[in-house]
Amino acid sequence: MKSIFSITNAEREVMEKLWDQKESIRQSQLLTLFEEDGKEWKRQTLNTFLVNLEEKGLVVRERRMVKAVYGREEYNLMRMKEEIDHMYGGKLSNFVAAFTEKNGIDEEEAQVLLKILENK
Amino acid sequence: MGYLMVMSLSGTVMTGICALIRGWRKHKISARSAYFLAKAAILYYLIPLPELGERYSRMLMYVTGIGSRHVSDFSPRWSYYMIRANGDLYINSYMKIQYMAATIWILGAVSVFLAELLAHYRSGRRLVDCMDEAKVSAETWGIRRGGRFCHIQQRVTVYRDVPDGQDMTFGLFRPVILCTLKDGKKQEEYALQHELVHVRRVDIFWKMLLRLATILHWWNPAVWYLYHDFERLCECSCDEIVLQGKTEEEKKDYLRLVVIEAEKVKKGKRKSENPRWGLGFELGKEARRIEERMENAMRTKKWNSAAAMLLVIVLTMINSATVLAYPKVYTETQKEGVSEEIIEMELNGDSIQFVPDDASEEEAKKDRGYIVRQIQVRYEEQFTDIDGNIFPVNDITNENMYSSCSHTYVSGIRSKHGKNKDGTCTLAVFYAERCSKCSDVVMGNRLFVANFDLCSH
Repeated sequence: MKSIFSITNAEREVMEKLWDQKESIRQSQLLTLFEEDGKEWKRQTLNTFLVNLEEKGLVVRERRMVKAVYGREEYNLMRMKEEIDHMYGGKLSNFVAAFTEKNGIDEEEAQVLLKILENK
Repeated sequence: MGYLMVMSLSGTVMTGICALIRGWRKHKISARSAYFLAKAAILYYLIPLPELGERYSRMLMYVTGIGSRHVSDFSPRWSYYMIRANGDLYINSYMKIQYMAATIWILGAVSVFLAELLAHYRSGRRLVDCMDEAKVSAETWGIRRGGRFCHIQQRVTVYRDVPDGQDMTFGLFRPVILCTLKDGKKQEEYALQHELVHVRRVDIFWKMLLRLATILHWWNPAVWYLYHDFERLCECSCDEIVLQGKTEEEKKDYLRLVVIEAEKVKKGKRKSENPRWGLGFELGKEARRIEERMENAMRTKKWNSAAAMLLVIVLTMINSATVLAYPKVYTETQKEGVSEEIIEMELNGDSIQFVPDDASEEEAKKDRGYIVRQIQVRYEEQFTDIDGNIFPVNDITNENMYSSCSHTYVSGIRSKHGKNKDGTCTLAVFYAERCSKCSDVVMGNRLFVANFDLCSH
């Protein structure tokens, strides 16, 4: 299963630039930022990256303005959570040892178990 | 193929024994003992017992001084396996196909296993990168393995205060432990202790072996039973180790943490993984497992490593003894020109002992192992055809008869029997052909020479 938070190095660079901005930024301004860094990308190249990121739900584009949907920390946490779920789901769980059951229990079951524990 | 079947059968027997012992002595036997037995069962699925049977035979021979070994330096050698059934020997002409099938099977299983291992490794690397990018605090600990005089230091990376997910350990050579945020220091300690036990016991290595066993013996339901049961045993035995020497209240604190963490895991999931049906409330599968862990942890059972080891050894001996019940099949490479009929004929004759062609007198007297051969001896010199018919051989042939004969030669063997003064005798066997019309015998290469300690011919 491909992770929706899995992005390429180039897409990561775009996200880093967007995270550094507090507000939405024009696509042309974004391109200028990359040119200042020595990256000579064409408009079409940047557009392709932004389209991919938009499909993954990581950026939103409106009237030539681009903005990251999640902040840097939030993105990292969500990606980490997804990787943990991926690690402990399916065949990969064959090579993992955990503290508790992998699918978890719901609130009712937890209450019942705690009651059983108190009565021991 | 035979080895794979034996591995599967012995693993199944061991799994059955483990399940029986646990069912019969459930409240007496500790989870650590059961876990130990389960690990032994995994090894049975992966170790070819016929090889062990060979070691047993040799060990017994050295200890007792009796018994026989197979020698490999004799001629002739054939390319087929001999199968003994109903007192007769048969040639297995399909041995090459079986070899190919077994090779494909094993290579396929190993490939699938390595692919999963690689996927796991890549996933682990991505997860570690995620941790670093998310700036989760990491510590490197050293775990010492080995005794006082010889030990190695294993590095373990511990990520504390992981904001989401669940406590877990992955990685075999450089283990990584993830510890999620807890309410208190004590809870954090419990979780960490639990994961460290997994690292110390190399539980991940055993899980890998079990996964290999399930791939190799995918068709065997017993291995899947062990696969599903192993996780439960692993966690229960881990709890026992962590809770060793703890008070009742501390045990309850620990188990409370297990329940709370399990509830957190469920909250973090997007959709319900544990649907329940019906009107009454019933604990789901995961909850029942936790209940079992609770019962096991609260019940005090004795763990004796020496007793567990002894039990495994005894079960191994009992389980493996069956491999001694059948004679080892041997492989022989075909000598040129030897037909299947001659091979079968030679193998179905009377019992003799023999020494290799090039063995010296001294070597022949040594207490070596000999292959049992069977040849019927009626005359001092005889010809035996492929149907087992025996004809006496006379060197003096009627010249007229020979020159006028159109000759129809039949394949077989010629044997020369020589009795010695000390009561022993020698039997030399050669390839030969005999004319069925004029009885002329043409001798070929020598097959072997047999020395008998007492002539019974």
